[in-house]
Amino acid sequence: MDTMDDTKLEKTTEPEIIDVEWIQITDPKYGRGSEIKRILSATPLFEGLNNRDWRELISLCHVRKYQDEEIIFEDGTPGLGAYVILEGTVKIYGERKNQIIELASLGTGAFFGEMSLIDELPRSATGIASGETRLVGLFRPQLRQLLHARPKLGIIIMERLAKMVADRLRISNELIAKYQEQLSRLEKES
Amino acid sequence: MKLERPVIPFARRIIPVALLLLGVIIFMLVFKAISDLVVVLIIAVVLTYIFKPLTKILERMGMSRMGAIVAIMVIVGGALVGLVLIISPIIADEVSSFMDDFSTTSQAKVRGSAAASSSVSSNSSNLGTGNIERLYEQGTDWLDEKMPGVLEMLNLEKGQAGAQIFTERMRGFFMNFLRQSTGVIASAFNAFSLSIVVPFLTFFFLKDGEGAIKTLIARVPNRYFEMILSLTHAVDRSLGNYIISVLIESAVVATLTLPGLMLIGCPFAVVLAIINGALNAIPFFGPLIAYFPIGLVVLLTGEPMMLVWLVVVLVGVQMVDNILLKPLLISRSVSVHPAVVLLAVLIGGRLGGPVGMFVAVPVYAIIQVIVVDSYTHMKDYRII
Repeated sequence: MDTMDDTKLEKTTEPEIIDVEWIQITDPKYGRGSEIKRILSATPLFEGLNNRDWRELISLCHVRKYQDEEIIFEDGTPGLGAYVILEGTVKIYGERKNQIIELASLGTGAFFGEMSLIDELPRSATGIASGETRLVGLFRPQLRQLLHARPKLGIIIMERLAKMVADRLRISNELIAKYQEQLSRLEKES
Repeated sequence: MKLERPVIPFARRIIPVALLLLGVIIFMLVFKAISDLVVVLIIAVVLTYIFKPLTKILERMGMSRMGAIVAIMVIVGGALVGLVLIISPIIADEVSSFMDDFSTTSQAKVRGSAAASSSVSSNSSNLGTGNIERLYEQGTDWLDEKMPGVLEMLNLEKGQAGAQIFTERMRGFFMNFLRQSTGVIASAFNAFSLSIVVPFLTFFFLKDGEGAIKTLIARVPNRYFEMILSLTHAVDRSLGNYIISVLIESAVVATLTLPGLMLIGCPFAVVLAIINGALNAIPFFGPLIAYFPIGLVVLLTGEPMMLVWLVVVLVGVQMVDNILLKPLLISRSVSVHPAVVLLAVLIGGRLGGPVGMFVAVPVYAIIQVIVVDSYTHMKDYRII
């Protein structure tokens, strides 16, 4: 088990900072201990699939169990795929102004790391389990496999993934516009 | 963000490398102990990689995986049986005719029976070791004239007696090679392996292979999980590309060699074309090994012009292979250094005889892919 050294991490929570990458597009309102299908079907990426699609999808997913403070993925390591929280909490840490801060705390049903389903860039943050946590992961190689074997299903998932990224970009643009407005107001005031 | 992990001592860092080396040693020992079974397993893995893309195509068309696998195995199995039924009598005829020609002419010469020699020289394939003996005599005369003392150094005798000894040695070597090859092949490719074990293993690998790998990956500790998952996929892709590339290359080389050999009137064209295609799977040295039986057969015909045309055909096929096929296929596959190929072939020959020589490079390529990808992944995931 990997353990985190709190003194080295220097965790500081700054709730006023909104990190666009870790905004929860999905609303985690799903009960604990529910089966993979029920949890996954509540995420926009996988809703409305038929039984055959589910069989295919679940056969490609990996369920993992993490202990408290165990690292799920690390900043700078190759991004391989996305996770949905089946049970527990995942905290996302990132470096801002040379400090390691908590960017988000994600609960059951939250979907994270989806950018890694699209590109092969290294992870931009670190995910750590908070308490005993169960995750279900879908990874890029398996998604590509799905695209080859079941193109229709693969395209549906890719389209929804693109919509998620587009939503995130829209929120990002809105935030930039908002901050630019605040900045120009501050400049005028000073 | 850089999370500072506790410093991993050198002893712990070396563990993955040591495990890797141990894995290679265990593989070699297992190969030595159960080479027959390893050969059967390799055939099943190769067939799995051949059938996998076809399964995906059928699945894409809406078939279930089980249905797709059964359909492919029935269609390909049927086609294979049909092909074997058509081609095997031709190959068997060619091989037995070649063996008869080779042994009878040589024995006849040794006994000094002119009658036997003349009867064999008039056979359908027009072969005779007399041609080799004549070439040997001419060659040793030339060597003795140009470089006196070389023959003693090479322990070769001049004249007809020397030629007969040389031919007999060559015959012994060739027959021994064939006997060894057929012995190892027969033990590995016996009817039970071919008809039951190989299809069963292939079916299992196709149907449950991915599930079995997933189950194994589920046992991997969380820290190594993403790395192992990515590594498995990378190895699977490299291996698939390598096997398919080599098969396509061998098939094209054999297909190009066959009409060439038939055009120049070379006997046993089908067998020799298959040998040339199959041995082409061994980089650098494979074609050279294949040229030995082909050259020998053409020498036995005693037609010098056929030898010239044979060189043209083989050079032409090699040019197509090196200019067109290799850049197209090998760039997607694994490149192996010539020195390593030589070493792998020698070790393979030591461990598994002729079959070992044949599978040495593919097995080395598999180990290379695993080692190189493992190292890259361990560095990327900061394991080492």
